[in-house]
Amino acid sequence: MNAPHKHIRMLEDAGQGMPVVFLQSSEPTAAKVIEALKPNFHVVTFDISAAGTADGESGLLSAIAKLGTSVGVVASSAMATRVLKLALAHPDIINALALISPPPLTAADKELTAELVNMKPPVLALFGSRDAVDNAEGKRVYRQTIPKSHMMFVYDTDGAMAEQRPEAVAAALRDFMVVREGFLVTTKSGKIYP
Amino acid sequence: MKAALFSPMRYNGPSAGEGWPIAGSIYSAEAAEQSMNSYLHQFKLADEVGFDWVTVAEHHYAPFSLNPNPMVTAGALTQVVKRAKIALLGATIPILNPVRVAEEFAMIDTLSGGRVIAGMLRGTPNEYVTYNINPAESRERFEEALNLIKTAWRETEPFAWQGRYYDYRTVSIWPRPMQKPSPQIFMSGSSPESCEFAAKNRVSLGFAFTNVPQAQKSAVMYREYAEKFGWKPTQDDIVYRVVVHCADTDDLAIEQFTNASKNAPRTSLTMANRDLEGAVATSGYYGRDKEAQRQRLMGKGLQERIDTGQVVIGSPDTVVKQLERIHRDLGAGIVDMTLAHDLGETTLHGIELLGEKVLPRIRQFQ
Repeated sequence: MNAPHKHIRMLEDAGQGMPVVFLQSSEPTAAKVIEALKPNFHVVTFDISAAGTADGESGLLSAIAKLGTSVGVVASSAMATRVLKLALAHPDIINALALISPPPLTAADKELTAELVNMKPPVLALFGSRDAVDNAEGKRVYRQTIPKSHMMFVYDTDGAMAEQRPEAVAAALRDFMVVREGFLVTTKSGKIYP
Repeated sequence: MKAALFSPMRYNGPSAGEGWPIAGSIYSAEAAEQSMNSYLHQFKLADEVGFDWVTVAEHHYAPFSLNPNPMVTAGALTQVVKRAKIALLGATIPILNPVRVAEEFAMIDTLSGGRVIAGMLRGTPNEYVTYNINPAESRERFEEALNLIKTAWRETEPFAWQGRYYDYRTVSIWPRPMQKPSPQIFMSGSSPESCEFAAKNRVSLGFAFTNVPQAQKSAVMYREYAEKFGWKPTQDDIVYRVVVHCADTDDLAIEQFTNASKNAPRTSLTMANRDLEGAVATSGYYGRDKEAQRQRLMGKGLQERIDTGQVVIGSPDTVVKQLERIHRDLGAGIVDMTLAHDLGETTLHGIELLGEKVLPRIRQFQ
């Protein structure tokens, strides 16, 4: 796949399987998570930090739509708010959304917060356990307002969880992207010996 | 200084010998029932005579303790002990389901009207065999489990947990703890690693099956770490568990205790199975001061145990003096008095003596 717009940089296009799109800033912090997902997913990574224009977003949505009808999107912390707005406006294109350490929502985000009740795709918000108590109310807003939403604490991490415990983050994304809401139900076998 | 009464809840049936585990073939259901009722009665009396806490703990597979699940005992105690706090020192969280532990503590806190003390321990080495948990993972499991339990108590929205040892897709406990922000949490402070973790996480510290000189070193370390992490523990953040036997005179106390000890196992629960303990020791369970940890668990003579603050024994005056030394040397705000033997009426009289003649005086210790 080529970069869909002059202000969007494609960082990665690899792997096979269900498409998962990573939308992040110029800092490639999720490299180890992406590596862990490649065996099972078609992973496409865009740097969208310079693509804030309507034209740029249109190009991005077109690119995501070309990947199929069931596309999961993962947004880094810095891009979370922007991607939430995209998912609100285009649930037909962004079918599931995972947010890695999204910023706590405050009174300044009241317009976005009011809109989140209309979110159609399921949303998984991942937070680090080390800073779980910092701005805890603002983190809970995602779970409280988005209808199909889940709040996950990744133990022994903070905002840099994708570097600190990439396997743990990838495992959560893997389950969520495949079965969406059904990720609540484990499919791991508990049987020790046949 | 506050006072707690702890009983391991030994089985009062025919002598079982030493070792771990102990076969159930010698078990008497009647003796077990009598034992449990006896301990409930002792705890009830302790509450009535003014003890601040009553304390239970978790041990498995041996007559040393009929308390594999202290949550069950604490549930019963909420209906018997009306005033004192109910301390679980503690639940052995690395071998348990942490979410279940969070739920059970919350239940007991609610049933007791907010009187639970939440001790969470790594337990004795043999406990890792109980549910087949690798003792090499003990400390990491403990730290994650404690973090998860605190999160389950604190978090008001359902949450998932992506841990190293624990993986839950939704946690939202009901009932929730009555005490806010949470019940007071204690953990064992026997190792340097524990002192640092407790200080870092603002958890209170407990000492058991150790001695005053060793506990003193750990308490100093705990306070130093706490200062580094920006807080200062109070006396109420340190509890010291010690065997106590009080009688009308010193001679009578020593005679009663010595006679009772003749029929009791001579080794601690940890050292009851030396092969097992040795295997656990090689796993890295003890941490960086392994030899000191193991040494404190070795059997010692009565006088040495008295001298090092492992046993407090005598008349009320003598008991007060010995407790004053522990308080002075250690700075512990709570003494967890262990009833090593169930001597029926003698034990009940000892509890009454403690309540009448010891507790009012040790409360003056500042």
